[in-house]
Amino acid sequence: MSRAALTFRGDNVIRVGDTCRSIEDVRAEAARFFDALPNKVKGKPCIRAAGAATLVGLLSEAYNRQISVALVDKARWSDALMEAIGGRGYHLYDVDFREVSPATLILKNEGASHEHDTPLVGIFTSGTTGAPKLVEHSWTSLVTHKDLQAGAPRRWLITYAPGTYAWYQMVTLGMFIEGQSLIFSDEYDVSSIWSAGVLHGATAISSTPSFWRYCFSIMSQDQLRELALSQITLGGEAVDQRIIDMLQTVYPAAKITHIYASTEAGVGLVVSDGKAGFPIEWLNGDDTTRPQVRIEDNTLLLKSPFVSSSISSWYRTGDVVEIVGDRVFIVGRRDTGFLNIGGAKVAAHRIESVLMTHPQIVWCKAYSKKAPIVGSIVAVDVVLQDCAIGEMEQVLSEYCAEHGLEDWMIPRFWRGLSSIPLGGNFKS
Amino acid sequence: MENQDVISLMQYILEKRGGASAALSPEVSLRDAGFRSLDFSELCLRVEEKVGKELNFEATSLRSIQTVGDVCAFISTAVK
Repeated sequence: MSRAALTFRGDNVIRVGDTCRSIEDVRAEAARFFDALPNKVKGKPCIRAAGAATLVGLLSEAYNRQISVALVDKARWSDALMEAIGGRGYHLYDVDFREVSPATLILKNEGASHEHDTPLVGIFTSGTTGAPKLVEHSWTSLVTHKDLQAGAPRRWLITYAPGTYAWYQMVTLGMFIEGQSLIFSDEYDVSSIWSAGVLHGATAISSTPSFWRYCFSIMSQDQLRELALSQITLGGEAVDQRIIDMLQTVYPAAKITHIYASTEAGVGLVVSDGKAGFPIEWLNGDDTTRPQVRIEDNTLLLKSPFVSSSISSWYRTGDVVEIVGDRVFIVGRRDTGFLNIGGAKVAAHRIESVLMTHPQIVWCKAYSKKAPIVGSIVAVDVVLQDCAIGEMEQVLSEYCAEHGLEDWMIPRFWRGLSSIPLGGNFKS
Repeated sequence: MENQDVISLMQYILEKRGGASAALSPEVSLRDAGFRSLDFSELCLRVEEKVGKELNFEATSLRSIQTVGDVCAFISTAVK
C-alpha cells in the first residue's frame, strides 16, 4: 500500500475523557513539536509523551511530514527501552504541549542516523519474552485495514496501551478509514475504559480475550449490554471457543473477529467465522498479496505484506500449533509454553483448555512449579466463580482426569486468585 | 508438624486423585497405599506451604522411605 493509497481522515474524531476533537485538530497541535525540531539534528525522533490526543497527533503529523518516528507513552519508559533505541539513529525527546517550547531534546543518541528513503514507525515490543526490542514498520506494513475501506462507521473503544503494535493498529484505523472514531480513557484500567465506552457510545472494541474474561467476572450481563457492539475484535492472546460463545451470547448482533498478529510479523490471520483456530485450508496458500501461513516442525511460519522492515521472508513465529479436525489451533510458545514434568512435556495450553471448559472457572494459568523428587509438578492459578479453591481441588482434579489429562498432567498445586491478573495491554 | 497432620495430608492427596480407600497408618507401605513419587512431591509442597519454609532434603535420605511412618519421620526432620 503506497502513501497514495492512504487517505488521511482528519475529520474522524477522537474522544478522550469528556472531550471530542478531530484528528486534524490534534495533528495541527502536534505540528508545533516538529516545527521546533532543530534542523541540524538528523536522527529519527523517539518521542516520550503522555495522553492519547498528543500521541495520536504526533503520529498523524509524522505521517503528514513523511518522517520516521517512534512514540512511547511516558509512563512506560524504562532503561530497557533506552537500551533498545541505542545505536539505531534515534534522538529522544520529551513532549509537553503545555510548555512554551514543546520539544526538549533529552539525548543525542550515538550511532549512525540510518537515513532511510522510506519513513519508518518504530514500535517497542512488550518484552514479555525477553528484553523489549524496537521494531520498525513502514507505513505500508503498518496500515493493515484495507479490507475495512468500505466498513460501516464505528466508534472504537481503545483498550491497548499507547505505543504498542495493537495501539498503532487502532490509531491508524482512525487516521485512514472513513467514519472510524476512537474512544480513549484518561486512565488505563478496565473500569475507566469501560466507562469511557459507555459515555461515548462505543460500537466496537478490539481487546485481548483476558480483557473480556475480566469484564465477565466483574459485570452482569445487563451491564455488559450497556454497549451496543456491532464489532468485537480479539487479539494478543490465543482465543478459545468459550470466550467467543460468551461474547456472541451477550452481543448477538456483533461480528466477532480474532486476529493473529505480532509486532514483528504484523497482522497474519483474521478469522471471522465464529470459531476458535483457523481453517486448515489457509495453510500453504499461494496468494502473495495476503498473509501466507505454513507449519514446519509443528511451528507456525508466516509470510505477510505486513511484516516489519527487518524481515524479508518467512517469519518463524515461535508459536506451536495443533491440527484438530479441519482447524489449526495455536497451543503455546515453543520456548515457554511447555511444562517439563519428570522428563515428559505437556503444553500448558492443553491443561488450561480442559480447565476452561469447567463452568466455575473464570480464568486459569498452568505452569510448572519446582518440586522435590520429580523436579517439577503442574501448578495452576485459577479464578473461580462463587467458590473457593479449597473445596474445588478434588472436583477439578477429577474433572481433569475425566477430560483426558493423564495423572502427571493434572495440577498438583492449586492457587485461587480473587481476580484475573492483567498485565500490559490486558494480557494475562 | 505432627505425624497425624502429615498422614491427613497424604490421605487427602490420595483421595483427591481417587486412589485412597482404607485409612493410612504408619506401618502401611507406600506401594500398598498407592502413594507415588508425584504424590510425595505434592506432599512436600503442601508441607512447605503450611510451615512457610522450604524443606531440607539434605537432612535425610529419601531412599530409605518405604512406609507412611518413614514419610512422617522424613518430614519431621526436613522441616527443622
